[in-house]
Amino acid sequence: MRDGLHLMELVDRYLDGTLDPGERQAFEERLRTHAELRELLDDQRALREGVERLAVRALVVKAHSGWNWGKWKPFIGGAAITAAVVTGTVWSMHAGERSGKTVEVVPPPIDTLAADRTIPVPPAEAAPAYVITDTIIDTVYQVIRRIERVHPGGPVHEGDSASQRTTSAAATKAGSIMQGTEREATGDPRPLRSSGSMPAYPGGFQELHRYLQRSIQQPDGAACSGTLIVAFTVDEKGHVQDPHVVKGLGNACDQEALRVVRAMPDWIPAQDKDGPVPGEVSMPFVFEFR
Amino acid sequence: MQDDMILALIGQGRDHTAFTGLYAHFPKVERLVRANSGTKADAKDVFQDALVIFHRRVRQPGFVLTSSISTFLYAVCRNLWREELRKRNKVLTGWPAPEAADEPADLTALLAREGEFKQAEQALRSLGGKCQDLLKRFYLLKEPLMQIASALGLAGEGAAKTRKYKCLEEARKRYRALADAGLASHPQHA
Repeated sequence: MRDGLHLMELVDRYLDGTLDPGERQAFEERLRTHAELRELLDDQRALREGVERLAVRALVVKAHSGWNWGKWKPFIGGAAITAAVVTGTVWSMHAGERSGKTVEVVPPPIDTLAADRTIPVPPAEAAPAYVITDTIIDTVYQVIRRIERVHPGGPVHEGDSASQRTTSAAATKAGSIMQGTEREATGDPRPLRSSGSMPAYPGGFQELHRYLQRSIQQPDGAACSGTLIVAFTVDEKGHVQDPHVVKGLGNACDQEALRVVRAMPDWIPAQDKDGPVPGEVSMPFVFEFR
Repeated sequence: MQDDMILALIGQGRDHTAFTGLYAHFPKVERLVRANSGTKADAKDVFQDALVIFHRRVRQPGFVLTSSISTFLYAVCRNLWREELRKRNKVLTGWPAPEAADEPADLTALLAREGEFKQAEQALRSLGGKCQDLLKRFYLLKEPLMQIASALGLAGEGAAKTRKYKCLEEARKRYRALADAGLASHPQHA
């Protein structure tokens, strides 16, 4: 069994592309001369694909029941999609750089509505975890940045909303978008590698969805379909400040999204180790108003 | 939902939303299957397979959509159902002629490959939950062996490694059996 196990690991590493050049050459040489190894390679490749199919099929089955349910659901305000909240993947913070900089985040691309219909393929290892909820409006707050507290003597950034706004817009344009972690769904304060938490909606995603579902209405006669993004700051007291459209649909739906964001209850402010600090949130909306 | 939005959602890993939107294409496929000696359950199976294939294709590097999603899904379903009927030895009457113009050029090769992977999937499914869970964690979530061991209640890294080997070995046996049976009933592919 030892040999079999070893061989199987070798094949895995070959398929992952993690053999070093010498090993790789030796392996390919062996492939040429050993038919059984070629068979093993083919089978193992198929089985790995099979594992992926298992996972995809589970999602399809889940979506089917969602669709069955959604079909009969009275459409509220003409909006009709069922949403998945993707939680994801990575928090990468440049923690430790405490010179008054904002916390940086890692970017899965959001603006992939490219006209040429090619889409970027996320790296396979970033397998997302899912929290599935059924809602009408699909939104997940995605960019959340904590404004680092300024220490005496350091450059003053805190409260300088103009500069926050610029960095926020720039970061969003550059695709510096971070998806939330699974913990958001339960409303937990977000764990950071350093200490503290990110701004959070009270009650987490579920509550945010519920709020949006109740509040969003189709603007009179407006048909809009697409993704728009509203960004805002959550100040130290949790108040929503300075909501603005980062990427709009250019019609009444922009105003509707802004209205709903402005009317939102207070958030739980971000925390660093010394207490509450302001943070930035960018919230995408997917509209399907016909 | 528009095609662009579906692709964007899959690109962002928001598969549930995408799949829910894609189910809008189901009724057309259901009509096709039911008009050709199939049931609603058959239609569901075929459509599910088509969605799996579509998703995997979209996630492939360098993917470009050459037809509308609707056309692609319909073409895949038509081919899958035709193949299924052949397996059941049904005589095909009034089968809609292949719409060569809108059929993706490499569809036959794609479906043959996916057919093999589906057998691998079936072999894996027959193994039971623990093996599936272990392999998903190992290959998809890329969890370290130590973490897998503690999640599945195995003694340690070594035990997880051995278990993974045994699962894969058994899956391979069953996969070979399925593949060989498939070849026997389809001498034309041999």
